[in-house]
Amino acid sequence: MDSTETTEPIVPDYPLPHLLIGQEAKNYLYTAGKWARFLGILGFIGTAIIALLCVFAGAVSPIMGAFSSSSTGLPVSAGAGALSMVPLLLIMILYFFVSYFLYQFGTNIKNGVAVNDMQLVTKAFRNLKSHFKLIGIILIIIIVSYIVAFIIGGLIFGSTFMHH
Amino acid sequence: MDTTETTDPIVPDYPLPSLVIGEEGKYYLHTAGRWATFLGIFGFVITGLTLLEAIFIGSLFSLMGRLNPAMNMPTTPGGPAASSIMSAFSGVISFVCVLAAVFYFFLSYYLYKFGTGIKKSTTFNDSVTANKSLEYLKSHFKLIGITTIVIISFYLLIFIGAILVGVFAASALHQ
Repeated sequence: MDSTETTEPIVPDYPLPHLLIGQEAKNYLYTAGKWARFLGILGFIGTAIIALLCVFAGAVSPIMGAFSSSSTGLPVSAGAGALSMVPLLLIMILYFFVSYFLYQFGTNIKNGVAVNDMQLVTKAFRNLKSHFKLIGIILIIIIVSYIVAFIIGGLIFGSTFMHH
Repeated sequence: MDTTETTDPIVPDYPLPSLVIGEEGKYYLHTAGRWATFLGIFGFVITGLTLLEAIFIGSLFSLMGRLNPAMNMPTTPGGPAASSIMSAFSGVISFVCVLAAVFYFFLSYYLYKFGTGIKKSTTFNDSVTANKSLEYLKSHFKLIGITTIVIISFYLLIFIGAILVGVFAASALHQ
């Protein structure tokens, strides 16, 4: 083999400084993006439905309070109606962001993979990371609250046997 | 420039056929993979619990029927007892639970395989592992999407069927 004067070919160093995604993987990413975008849109529709439920519950509870015959019925029921909206509002906000991240991942990965644009793909992966992270944090909070409620309930239950 | 006999260097053609993911993208992918493995493991736990529920829901209902005498009273005079209705339902519930457990198992499996694989491939810049992991990610989202479509169409069918039955019954009453 003769020595050659060639311009430096763009040979990747070993180990590669960047991760290369081949054609097959790009297709997988594109399909994942298609479904992710679809699921994100479905999530937005679900958020809208929950928002409707919120408005409905908020509008109906004062009316139901007015029908209550007890003397303290009206303010209590209206307050309970507004209070019941808080967890619903929280669920709506969380659900919105989960779908939003998924939708952003889907659209950006589809556009980025089509034109090999690293910036779009990086943005898509950032949204994918946020999507999984948000779901994970929600689950951790739910598990922790269950455990705390379990412990508190057990303590209360145990304390009923302590009184002589 | 002399002609050379060199083994083909891994020179990208232009435009690049492969996508290059830089440090920032790799970090995001790696973090996504970490959370994905956590969600996958959590999903496996939920699958186990669902299977347990499928197994025990039948005996739970019959136990409730025996313990609570109120459940043994017939719902309608001469009709079936409330507890026997519940035992009939428990079979349906068991079946649905098993279906849900299978669905959730594959969901978590795909997510877990994606997570572990992408963590490894971003650490070692391994394209082959990244390829397989992204296939799992695609399967994960595709499974969710297809199942959602099936469930929505199922609900729509039941809704339309109920309307049709209602219209049919109303028209039959008028004749």
